[in-house]
Amino acid sequence: MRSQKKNKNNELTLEQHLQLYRVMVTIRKFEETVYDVYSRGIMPGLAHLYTGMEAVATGVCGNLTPSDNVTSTHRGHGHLIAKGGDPAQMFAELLGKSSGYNKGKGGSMHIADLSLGMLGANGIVGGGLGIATGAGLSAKVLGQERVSVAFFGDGAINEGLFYEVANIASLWQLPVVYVLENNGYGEYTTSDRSTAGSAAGRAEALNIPTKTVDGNSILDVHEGAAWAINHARSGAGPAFLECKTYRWRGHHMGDQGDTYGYRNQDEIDTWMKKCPIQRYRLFLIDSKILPEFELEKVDEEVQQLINQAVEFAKAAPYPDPSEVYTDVYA
Amino acid sequence: MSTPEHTVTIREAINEALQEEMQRDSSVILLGQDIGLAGGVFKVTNGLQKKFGIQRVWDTPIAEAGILGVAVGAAMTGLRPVVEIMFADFTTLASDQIVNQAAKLRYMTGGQTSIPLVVRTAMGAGRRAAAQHSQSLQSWYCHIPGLIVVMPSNPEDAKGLLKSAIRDNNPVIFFEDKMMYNQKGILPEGEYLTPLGKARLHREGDDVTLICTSSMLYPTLEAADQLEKEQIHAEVIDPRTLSPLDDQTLIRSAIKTGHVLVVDEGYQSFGVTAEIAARITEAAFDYLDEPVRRLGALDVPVPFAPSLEDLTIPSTTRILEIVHEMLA
Amino acid sequence: MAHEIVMPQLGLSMSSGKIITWLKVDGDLIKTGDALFEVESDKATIAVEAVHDGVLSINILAGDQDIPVGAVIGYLLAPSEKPSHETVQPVALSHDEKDGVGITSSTPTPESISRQDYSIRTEGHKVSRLPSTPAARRLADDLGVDWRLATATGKRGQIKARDVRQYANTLPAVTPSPNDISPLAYTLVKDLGIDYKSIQLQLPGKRIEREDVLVYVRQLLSEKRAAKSTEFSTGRVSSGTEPILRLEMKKQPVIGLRKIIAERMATSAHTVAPVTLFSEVDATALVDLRESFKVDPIISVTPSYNVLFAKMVSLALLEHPDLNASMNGDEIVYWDTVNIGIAVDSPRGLVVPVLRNVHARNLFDLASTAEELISRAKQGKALPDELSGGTFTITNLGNLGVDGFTPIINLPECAVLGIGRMQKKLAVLADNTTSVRTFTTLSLTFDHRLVDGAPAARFLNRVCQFVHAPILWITRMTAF
Repeated sequence: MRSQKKNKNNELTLEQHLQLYRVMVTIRKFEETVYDVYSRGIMPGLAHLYTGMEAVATGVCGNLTPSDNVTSTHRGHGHLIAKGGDPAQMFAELLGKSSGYNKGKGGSMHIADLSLGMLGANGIVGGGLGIATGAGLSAKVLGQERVSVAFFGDGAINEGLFYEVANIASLWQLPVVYVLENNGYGEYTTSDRSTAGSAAGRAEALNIPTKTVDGNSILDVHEGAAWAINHARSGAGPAFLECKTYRWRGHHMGDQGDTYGYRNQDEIDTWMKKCPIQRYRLFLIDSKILPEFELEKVDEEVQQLINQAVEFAKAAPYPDPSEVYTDVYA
Repeated sequence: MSTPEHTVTIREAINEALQEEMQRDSSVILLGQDIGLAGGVFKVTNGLQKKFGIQRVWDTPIAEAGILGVAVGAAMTGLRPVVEIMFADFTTLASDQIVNQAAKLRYMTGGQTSIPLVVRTAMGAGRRAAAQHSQSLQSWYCHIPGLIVVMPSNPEDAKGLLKSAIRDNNPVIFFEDKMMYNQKGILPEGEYLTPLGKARLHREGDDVTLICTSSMLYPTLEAADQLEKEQIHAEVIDPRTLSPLDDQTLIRSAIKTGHVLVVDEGYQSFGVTAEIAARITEAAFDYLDEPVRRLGALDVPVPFAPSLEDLTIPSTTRILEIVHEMLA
Repeated sequence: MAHEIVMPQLGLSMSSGKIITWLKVDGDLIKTGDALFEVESDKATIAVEAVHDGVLSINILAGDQDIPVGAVIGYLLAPSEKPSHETVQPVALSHDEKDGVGITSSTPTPESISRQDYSIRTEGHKVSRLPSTPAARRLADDLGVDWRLATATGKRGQIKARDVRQYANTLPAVTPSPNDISPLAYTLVKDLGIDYKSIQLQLPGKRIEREDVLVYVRQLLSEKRAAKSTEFSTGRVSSGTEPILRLEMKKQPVIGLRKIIAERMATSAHTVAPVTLFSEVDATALVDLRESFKVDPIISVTPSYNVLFAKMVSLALLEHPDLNASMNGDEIVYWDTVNIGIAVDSPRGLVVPVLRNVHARNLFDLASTAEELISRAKQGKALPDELSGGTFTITNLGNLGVDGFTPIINLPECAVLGIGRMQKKLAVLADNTTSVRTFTTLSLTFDHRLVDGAPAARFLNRVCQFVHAPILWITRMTAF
């Protein structure tokens, strides 16, 4: 609550607040529905849930326009929703249906909506870093105002690619924002066992200005992201934003309970108490920015939306066998 | 662009192709180490930064994965990058970007995006550059669906194929033989494009089919000349694009002659020659008078000592030996 | 200088032994008489002494390995010498290795690296059929020939396409199938109203081209012209059987059947080592036999002399299989069946239809088959299979008044029997009385590369016996 009171960001309009809230709730309900559907055994493949980290995607993407680019990780549902993705087409994709965003050919880990500038979740750790940096290069060469945001985790900060592309971005002053979603875990290994020194320090060493924020405070994230995105858009080069957060669910759906024995329930409980959506809700109500019933209305609308998305996805057709050969080449 | 017929080296032909395409389409940019100010380690991009500026020709740090990653992102968002990887051996450092990203993004996104990217890289032994600077890794990339693999053998094909590659909307790996940059040839008058996916017949013959890639064209033609003196008429075909392969042309020739030798500078085992041999055997089995033969580099890392290195590279002598064995 | 230490013969019956233990160590200085090692033979364990001075160099260590008597197991070297071989630890042979099924080293040798030869070695692997290439078999199929009769020239002993083509060139022209005519030629034959199946091909297997049609038509026209000219000169309608009483300058290209015959005959003459044996034989009984067949109401087709001779020859070949053979490169193939080719004069030239399995078939079955087959062959309508696959040929010029002659061998066979005319002669019998008997001359040309004179003569003699006394073979047949 204290961080909320320190918040200087009282320039957001009601609509903007409502939108931020709506996006976070959409992500939460989407992910929890995925959990449910997956657990029933009707969703193939892997699912990596964003539950608990909603503020990061929402806060950052809340500063972006549709033409701005975003790349994501294997844990990409939140980013696509925050960028404006349609839950129905997303769910269809997760079920491998041809009505999905990627015609069922990418699945959860590669979900994308190019029309919204969302250049895709990526199955390779750090895979989006190069793509986002390249999108920054094209904006610069083509003289466009586009900013590209690369979401990545504390696991990816140790991939060599990060240094190579961040170095290039800094050298060439590309309009790229590197957003480190530090949830303390790279799969089943904590960052203190995988990352020497400081994560943000690496960016600083490359002359990239950095900021670290509380990733569970939507307003802190939003403010920090505004700074970073404006910095990049101004032509001053890349920026680095570290958001400290936590994922409630396992690394992926197969990581339940004590299977890998790498974290304890106490820790999860502690972080659940810092739920970003709850915090924001309380803040909005306490600060009299929005009444509770409005928020509840949003909750219901979102629930409806998600329900319809699931129905849509379940009813959608599987891809025709001939689709196996399409889109290999342009 | 109306240019008269003229003789150039492969180096100059590639330079011309880059110039013409950059002139024609402002979204074509070049990325690579030392390609701008220094004109490229093989001097292929000489003069291009001066002509087109630093916003079109970028000198990159030594970061193959980073360069390719940036190129992929740029290709997805409106540019047509042509990346130079100094030695084909170094593409290993960019494997993820080429294999997991560039080759697959179109398919994985269900066709939402395309990657109009060209990776130019120098392969081939003979330079005494030893094992890590001499490899011919084309078969690796042929193996990956979604990539196009091109290997020109002469100036005319080099220019035409590169122009086509740049205009193609798919990721193309364009292998240049580092020993062939000075090879001369005539370019036809005016602008021309050489189609991807089509083989080229260099010589017609009824007795034996010789299929050769890149610089292997030259020892093969030499062998064909020698065979003519022995009244053996060899048909010489250069596939030019390895993937997708113009196997129909190759198969038709095999049906005609019944004797086939495939020559490629990659390591012989698990190489390009094996795929071509397999396709020909499957389709033309009933017409074969001899098993399809392969000649690749020896299955050893390329040695430094000149006498040893020369042993590893397919030669005219070895081609003749194999042909004589087949026809005996 | 190094002295060899060998596995000694420790008993008359000993052929191998085991080294139980070495009593000295590699590098030891040995004096003559020192006990070096212990050997186990079937009978006992014996210590073997050194017979020279020297430094011990052990090549084969103690172990279970059976070492043949006389094999070198070590050396006694002069102090300055270096051992020339590395010590080998004998490996107890595993079951597999004892059976000869070992795993060859997977490390490529420099040899194999430089040759990059990945072929599986097939030496020692018994191949039960003639190896041939797919192209050869396909070509044989296209040409309608039996690839097994081609002579292999492949360096692995395989029959290649060129060998099939070579063989096919030795055969007479085949009747084309409907696919074997070019569109242009087909249009032409349709316009002219010709049955193209009677047109000769230039080469076997090649399809009928326009040129073939034109040649055929020209021949027809010249024949017609010849008939017509007779008409004019005699003022009567010619039946075609009257002789043409003047010569005409005529040129005829050597094409079609004539060309094939020319090539085949030349090849045979230049390849074969021909010897011809002549025998005159009393054929009266054979003639009587045939007359009996003629008047027998049950027999619908009287066996011709060709059929009778084919049958007699086939039975003689069963007793003399050397003459039922073919030479294929370095190999002589003795056939397991008797297929007799019967030389037939057709208007276009010599054709040789083949009667199959003559030795096993009934005379009357042969007779009816032969009549039909020969008739079609004369008209140029025999199928390719019917003109190939022969193992022996007979040729009968008897009805043209010839006695003995020197027939040319029909490659790849090794012998050919010529049959002369049946002629009544006055014969002197055993009791020195005379009688009128019918004689015929048989001429056997054989290939001296495969068959020698005496065996050939014995065969001919047997045929003569059969001719002279048909009872010898008639009784061996099943009737009907």
